[in-house]
Amino acid sequence: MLLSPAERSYIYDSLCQKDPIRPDGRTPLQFRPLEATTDFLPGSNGSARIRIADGSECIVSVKSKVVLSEKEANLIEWDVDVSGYRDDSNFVSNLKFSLTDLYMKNFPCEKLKLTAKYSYKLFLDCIIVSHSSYPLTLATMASYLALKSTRLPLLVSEVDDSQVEEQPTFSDDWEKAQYLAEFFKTESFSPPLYITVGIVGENVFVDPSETEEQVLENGLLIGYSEKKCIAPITNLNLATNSNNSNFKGFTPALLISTVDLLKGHLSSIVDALDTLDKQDKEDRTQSIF
Amino acid sequence: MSRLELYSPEGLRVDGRRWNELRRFDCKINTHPAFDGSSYVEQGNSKVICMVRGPMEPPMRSQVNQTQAVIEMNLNIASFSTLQRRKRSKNDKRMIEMKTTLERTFEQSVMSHLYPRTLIEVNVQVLAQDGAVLATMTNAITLALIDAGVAMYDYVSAVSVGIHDQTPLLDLNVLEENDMSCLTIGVVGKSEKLAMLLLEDKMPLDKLENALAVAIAGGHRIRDLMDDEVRSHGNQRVSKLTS
Amino acid sequence: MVEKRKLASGLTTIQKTFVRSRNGGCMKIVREHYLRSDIPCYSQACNHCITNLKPDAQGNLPLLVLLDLPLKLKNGGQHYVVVDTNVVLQAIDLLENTECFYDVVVPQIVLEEVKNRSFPIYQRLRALVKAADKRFVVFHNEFHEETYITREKDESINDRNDRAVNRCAQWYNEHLAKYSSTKNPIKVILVCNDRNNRKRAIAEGIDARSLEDYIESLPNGDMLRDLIPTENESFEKNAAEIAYPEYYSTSRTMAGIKNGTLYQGVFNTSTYNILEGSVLTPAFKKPLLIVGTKNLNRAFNGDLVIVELLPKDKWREPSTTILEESSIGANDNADDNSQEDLVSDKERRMLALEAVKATIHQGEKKLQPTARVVSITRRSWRFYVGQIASSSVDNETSNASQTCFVILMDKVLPKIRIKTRKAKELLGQRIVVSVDAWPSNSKYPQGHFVRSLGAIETEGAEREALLIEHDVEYRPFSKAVLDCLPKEGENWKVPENLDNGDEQLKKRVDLRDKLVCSIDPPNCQDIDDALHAKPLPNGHYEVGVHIADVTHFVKPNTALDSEGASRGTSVYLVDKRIDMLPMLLGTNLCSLNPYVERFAFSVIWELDENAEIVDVKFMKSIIKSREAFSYEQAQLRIEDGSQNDELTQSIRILLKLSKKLKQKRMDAGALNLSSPEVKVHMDSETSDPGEVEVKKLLETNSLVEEFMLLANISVARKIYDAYPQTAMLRRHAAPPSTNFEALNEILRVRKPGMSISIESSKALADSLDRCVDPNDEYFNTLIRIMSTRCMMAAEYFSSSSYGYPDFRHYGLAVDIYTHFTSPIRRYCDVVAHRQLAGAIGYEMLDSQHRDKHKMELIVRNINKRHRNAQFAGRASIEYYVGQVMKNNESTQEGYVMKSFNNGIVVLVPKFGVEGMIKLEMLGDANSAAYDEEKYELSFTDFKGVSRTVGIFDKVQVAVKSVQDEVSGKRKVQLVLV
Repeated sequence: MLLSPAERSYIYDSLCQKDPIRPDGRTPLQFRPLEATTDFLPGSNGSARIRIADGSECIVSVKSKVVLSEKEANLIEWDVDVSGYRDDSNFVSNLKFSLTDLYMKNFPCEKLKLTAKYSYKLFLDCIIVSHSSYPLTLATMASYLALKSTRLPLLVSEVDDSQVEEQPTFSDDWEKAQYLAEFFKTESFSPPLYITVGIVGENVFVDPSETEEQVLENGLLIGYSEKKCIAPITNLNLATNSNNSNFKGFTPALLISTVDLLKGHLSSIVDALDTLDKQDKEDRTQSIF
Repeated sequence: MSRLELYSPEGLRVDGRRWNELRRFDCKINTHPAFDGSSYVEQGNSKVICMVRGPMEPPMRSQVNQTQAVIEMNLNIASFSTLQRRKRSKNDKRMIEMKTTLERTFEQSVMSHLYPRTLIEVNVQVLAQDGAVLATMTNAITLALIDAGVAMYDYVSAVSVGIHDQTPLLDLNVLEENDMSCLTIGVVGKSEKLAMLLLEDKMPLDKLENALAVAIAGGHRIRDLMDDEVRSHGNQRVSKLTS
Repeated sequence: MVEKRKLASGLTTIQKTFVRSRNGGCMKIVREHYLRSDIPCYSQACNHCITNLKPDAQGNLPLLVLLDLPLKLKNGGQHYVVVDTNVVLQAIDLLENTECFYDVVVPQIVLEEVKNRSFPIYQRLRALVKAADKRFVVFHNEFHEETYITREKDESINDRNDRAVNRCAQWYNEHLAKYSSTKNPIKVILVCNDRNNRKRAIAEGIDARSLEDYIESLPNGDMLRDLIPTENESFEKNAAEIAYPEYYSTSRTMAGIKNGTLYQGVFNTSTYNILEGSVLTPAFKKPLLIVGTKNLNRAFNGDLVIVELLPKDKWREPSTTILEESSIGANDNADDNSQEDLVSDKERRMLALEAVKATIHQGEKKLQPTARVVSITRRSWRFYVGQIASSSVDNETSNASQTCFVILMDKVLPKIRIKTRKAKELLGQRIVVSVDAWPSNSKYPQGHFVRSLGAIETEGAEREALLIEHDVEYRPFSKAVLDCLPKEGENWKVPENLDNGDEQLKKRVDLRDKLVCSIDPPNCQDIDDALHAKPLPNGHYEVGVHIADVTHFVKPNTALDSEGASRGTSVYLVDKRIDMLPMLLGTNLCSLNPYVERFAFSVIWELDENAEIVDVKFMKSIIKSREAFSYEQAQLRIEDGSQNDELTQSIRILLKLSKKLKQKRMDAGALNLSSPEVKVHMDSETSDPGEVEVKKLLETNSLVEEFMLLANISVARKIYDAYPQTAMLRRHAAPPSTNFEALNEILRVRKPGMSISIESSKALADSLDRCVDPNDEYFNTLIRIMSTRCMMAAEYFSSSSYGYPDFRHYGLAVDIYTHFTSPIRRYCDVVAHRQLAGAIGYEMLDSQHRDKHKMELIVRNINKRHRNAQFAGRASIEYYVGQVMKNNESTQEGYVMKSFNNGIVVLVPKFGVEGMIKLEMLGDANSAAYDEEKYELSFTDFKGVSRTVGIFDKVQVAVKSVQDEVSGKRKVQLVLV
């Protein structure tokens, strides 16, 4: 929904204030409420669907494939599909690049190694069924849940095949398949997230809505994982469908203070996602809706 | 060669059904309140979401038809929906064939003359394929259109049927579909009228009538299951209104 | 991950999730699975299931097959049997035995496991269920609500399946106890060879027995005991006998094939040396040699094996030594060979000899890579016929079970170790054995006795042995097949009223006025074809070929059709014909007998003076043959100037045209090849064992042949036109040049100036014509025989398998060909008939002949059957010739066809026999020398004369028939005179 100049000016003013008022009444660091389900795709190793209150919805599937390590440059491959956009459009390419970039820098690809010669390769397919605000936060949250629900079949053949090549064989029992954390042999496995942040004056707002996006002075995309803000961090115009006349630069100091601000606050969203994941694993109904 | 016993001499299929039995059919409407109409259908392990916008003013002048509504189908088959991940382009021949089939089917079934100069946008998202995908999409579209309040002559309920040697098999799953020629039909309501008929491969003419009879009976059962969902959803809404 | 949901339709749905590993990848697979309550127990004693039967699409209800009064046991009352997977896999022969195993329940999970492990056994099991006379049923336990079980945590899939079988047995007990109409409910006995599972089953209250215990408890158990297949444990005392290399794991072989370090192919034992074999793989042009016991590593002739190359220093040329199983270790005692090494000394000597040879020959050209077998993908094991080696039988032992060797008739296979109580009785008999296993610590494969065919050299036993060895189905036609024949039986007639409302009958053309006659070998009973000809007013000729309309009686998708399809061809033995279709059709209803009206499928041409086709028509017709001639009668009639009736005239026209056709064919480069077998009168029904006759060819033979070829070609074009994807055709590929290399090399050395060129069939035909030795009339024929062996075999195919240029029939020099003219005895012709009928719009072509995949299966089978029939026919002649020789020793002319360093192969044209003469039989073995360059073997014969024989040499040989002591096979023995 495109805003009229009067509406824009009204919302801009309310976001500019010392104590800003967001149009939907959220506090600056509050996310919109979301609902999610996981592991509903029978043919995928892991899957998640996430939906926020404005009807934006994203589905992520994780599928694995056994590959010869030397032949694959990347062990994670992203594909993004946004309804209403062509696959070769700028918008889709940008989303795909951002996601690939985040995972290249922050996902333990080396741990996908299976034997001396073989690795698992993960295909992450993200379908943005509908969206109004910039969908990257949504996409990474769905990926987070999808990866958390991802299981990889248990290898039963030899791990060392450097001398005599042997094709990997796997246990036919799906119940023996390992969750990624188990497979990586780590205590906590936490895939990276993107947090979208809007800037108006000195104020910053996480997870800006479509309305807010249209009046922002600038937008930030901040990587987040394991209680830390991480690279990549970029700024961009979040309002992709309208001319944002307010758009302008911001001071570097603001970036630093935002990162500090987020660091302490964002663990709550990860906790929320983890809780969701846990609930879903206990209550395995396999239905999306 | 496939060595599966697709239809055992004892009369059971690979998944344990008999020749004339449908798979599990689950449907829900109004799954996406942000759209005008939406639905979710599972036919066996085939899973389809459908979201409808409209009737609305067409964003482009070229789409305006002075006498009736224009129906636009956007099909999207997820690359993870098949066993082996496979990316399907929108210009894939098969996709275009399905798109055209569906557009023609629903142009006939929607009372489009009631909505001149409008556009009805239908978005179909296939999440998982386990055979009879076209049928599942058709059923999902019917439900989403009903949810959107678009006037239709009747339900279009679709089901597939294949011929294994002499026996018609209703509602094929993917294992069966890979191994025999199959026919997908869309039945109008409780009649024997067909709004859609698509034959994959070929089928001997003398078996066709028999296969159609089995499929029509299956289509009627699906219509009843969809009708149950529509009515129960309607009742829920009414009860919310009155309370 | 199991969510059960009851659906409105009464079914319960669950999701089965599992991981499939394949080719090194893995996939998560989820399948929907429906459970139901309406699967019957199939027992006639049950009064519940009969109320809940569901019809199939044709409205037929399932039959309750299991008797309400099944067999009663000495210990344990009336019972049904539930079998487990291993029992089916090991003892399918016993299950098929008519003396035991009635009322058997096969759980679905067992059927599935059997199918995954061995498809042929699965097919036999399915056939048992279908035949119904042994009352086998498949109980779909995996789909039944009360018998489906889910896999438990950390349970292997095998354990889970065992549990499912137990549950199934338990369910039958409960079910029969609850609903039985008889006073004492029928019990179920679980026959299972797994000790642990048996223990578990017994704990659950199931009567579980091992196969042996179960057979013992049968009233006729004593008789059946010998038929129990051996388990590894029963030969355990020989544990350390030998150590074959263990096979590689599947994951290793799969990776190896993928990365190109291992190769897969069919293993063929060398015809002359059982310690050598070869594997042709796509990766190499020449087959890989496999030499020596350890490298052969238990491979059987015909197995699909995976091999690994040996280092280059072990590469060598193929052996020039003859080595048969009978010559090594024939005197072994089967029980006592523990002191024997893996490599027998004799074997070592042979190998050493070979190795020396290989090193002398430094020329890389002849060196062939060698390999060793590392895994066996698919065994070619079947029933084998052989006889017990008398030396392995301990005559002292009384009737206790003893281990002995069975020497197989097929010389390229090793002997098989069996255990039997009847060893003494079985001596001197042809017996059928089955191979069970070949563990790595056992020198010989282990098997068990199946049945005896009778004494060696009795006609019946030898014939049956031959049929079994060539996998020919010779049992009488089943009732289901005979039921498909017309009800009128022999009294069937062409309807008198042709306008009786039968639409198809209306489409038939009435050709009863044509002067049709047939020309066949004397006493021919199955007359496939008949001919007619008449001059047309425009100076052209009308010529008709009329073929028995077999497909009028053999309709697709009937038991009759599937029997015909599976037999593929009739098999002609010297003394017996094994029919593809029941006698009633072959010799009566379809046979175009004279003086009676018959349905036919006619091809009618208009030919001009030069026998060029002006027009061709195809039609289903009704004909009345005026006369059935033998070749000789027809020849006499043509030559008899006094006969000038219309029928004779028309035969003369046919003859005239056929000569032109033949000339045209020859000009195009059709080959006139020779094989000694053809010269022996194969089709003869006289079978008077006093003479071997070389067949004389009359002009009338070739008259019929030319028109049959013409009909086949015309039909091939028509059906290819109508069904470009699935037309049933026959092709003959051009021989690869490498096939002729050896022969040309021999020619170069032995017959300077002669060579065979193979650029085209025309060139080949011409070069064969040039290979004439003025001093030896037979030499040309000899070259033709040897060339024939270098040719490819003709094969049936469906037109989608090759591009049009590859349809060519090299031997006949035509671009497209099929078989149409003998539908009584070849299944290809039946398919061609149906396709032609479809092409001319007579009737709809059945879908199986329009389906590429199904045609592929048909083609594969008929090619195999055709080959087997040929081999069986030849073997029959060989046996027959051997019998004739028994009282008929003589000295004959022979020709040397092959030479080795320890023997030669000689062909005796008079009898069409070929035999090996080993060095020991030629003279002093120590004095012998073999000149490989010249293909000459020189030796000092028993008279002290030094002689040299080489390939193509004419020699005098004494021909006599001897019985091989070891294999009991009679063969012709040749001795150089």
